[in-house]
Amino acid sequence: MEPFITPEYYEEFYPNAVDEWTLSQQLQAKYGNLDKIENHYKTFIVSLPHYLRTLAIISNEVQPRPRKTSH
Amino acid sequence: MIAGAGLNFVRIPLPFWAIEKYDNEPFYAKASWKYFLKAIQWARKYGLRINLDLHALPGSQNGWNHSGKLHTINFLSGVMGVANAQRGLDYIRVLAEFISQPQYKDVVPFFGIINEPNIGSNPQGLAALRDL
Repeated sequence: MEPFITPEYYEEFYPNAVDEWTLSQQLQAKYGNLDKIENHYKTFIVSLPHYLRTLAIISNEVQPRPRKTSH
Repeated sequence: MIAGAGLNFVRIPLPFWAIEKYDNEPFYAKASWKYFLKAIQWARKYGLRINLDLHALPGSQNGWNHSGKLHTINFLSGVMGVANAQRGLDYIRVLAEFISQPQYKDVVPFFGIINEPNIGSNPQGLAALRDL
């Protein structure tokens, strides 16, 4: 998980989480588990078309869909 | 839809901790493996192939955040650099053997064994990396 792809996971621990190593440490310390990373996999990799769309967004081929403002 | 767009390969990055981790590493181990297996099924379904990419190796092969650990390069470099590389070789073997199985080899015909290694100017490390 890179900060620029999944900033919503890193914002909570800014500026202490800078990579998956420190993110995992921070999550473990705060919640006692790494369920949020499982949740990331579960929601990020929902299907190959979604994955491809994400790649396209990263490479600026298409515009991202509007993000929900509430979690 | 994907075939219509002319795409036929998907690059899927895996960290070494998709396979296992050591106790002193904080990573969420083995979780991404099951999603990789799902991706293989999806690729089959949509007629795509996978470019498997080992993106994070033990110790960090480039010191960038997408190697799992920012700043320190500890793969073929530094204390434990050789041990980490040996461990990395084991993971490369695990993945290579996995995707070479008859049921997977047509879906995953491509394997990038190390993403963006950058071990600086360490001459012994560079030689070992080229051998790899």
